[in-house]
Amino acid sequence: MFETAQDWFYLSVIILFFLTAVTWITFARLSMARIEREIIRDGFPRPCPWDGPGARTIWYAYAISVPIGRFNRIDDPLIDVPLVRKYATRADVIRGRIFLIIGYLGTVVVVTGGIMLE
Amino acid sequence: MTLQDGAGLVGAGTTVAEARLTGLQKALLDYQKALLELRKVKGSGQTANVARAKHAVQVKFKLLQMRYRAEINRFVSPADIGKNRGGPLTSAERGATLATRRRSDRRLYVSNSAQATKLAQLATATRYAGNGLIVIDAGLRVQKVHGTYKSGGDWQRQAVMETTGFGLGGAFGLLAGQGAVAGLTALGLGLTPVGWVVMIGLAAAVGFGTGIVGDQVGKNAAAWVYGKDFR
Repeated sequence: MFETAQDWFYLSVIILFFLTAVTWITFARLSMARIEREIIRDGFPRPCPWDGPGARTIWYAYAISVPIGRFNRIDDPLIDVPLVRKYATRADVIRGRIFLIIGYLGTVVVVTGGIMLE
Repeated sequence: MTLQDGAGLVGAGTTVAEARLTGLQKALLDYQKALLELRKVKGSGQTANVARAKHAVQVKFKLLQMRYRAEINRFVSPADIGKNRGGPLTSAERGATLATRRRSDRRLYVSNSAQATKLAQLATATRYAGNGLIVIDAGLRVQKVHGTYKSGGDWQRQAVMETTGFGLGGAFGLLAGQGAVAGLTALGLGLTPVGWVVMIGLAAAVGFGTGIVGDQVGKNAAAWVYGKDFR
């Protein structure tokens, strides 16, 4: 059934795409939406006001689950990192990490496989 | 490069440009709030509160200048730089002077100035451009499926391929774009206005490239599943 490298590549792409979609939606609905609701309830401005279609989910995941440093700057102009981190729970950090790990694993597999096998 | 590819590239670029513009508006508003707070506490006459409010004005101005020096320079007349004249965007000290004057000064409302309004309009326009281009991408894919249907081809297979390509290319393209922004920021590229422009270009290119590869891989993977007999 899976004879060639391409068969295994497509199988992994579909599994990783599905897992990325599930973790993305889980993080967006259970973590990001709750954090935004609480921030607005407390009278603060939206921490990531520029986004329309939902790309900010990735910025939220970075802000919450990557330690403050070179890759997650406290003065990031695209999102209010300290404000978002203040509202994040341990569960949000875990959801964010799982989403980023699976998402970037998928990106690496798609790009390398896409260039080598397509 | 097809029209559809172009839409993806412009979409990625406008999203980052728009983020920067709305960030500037927020920073201007924060500075304005600090100035108005200083004006309010100055009237109360409590020295400690005035000192605290003056410090807040300095912090907010420093932040504004650090992140948006290029844009701020458009607001300020070069002749005013370093002098105690002009509007509150010349320096934090100038802002504090205007805020503590007896007479109310319209210039304290820095986020309402004509230039700031122009920037706000530009941000709105780019937001529509970013979202609109996503709609164009989706529309072109629908048109492709309709074309396959009209020519008597397997339109359902085409629909599955286009949907998977749209989702996969979009998702992994965005992840790669943000990864590029984080990586380039870590290298210190986003610290200068020119660096920001280079970073926008590079991040859009990385996101766009990944989006194209992801779109193709997604289409082929969907076609593979569609034609596979898993029994």
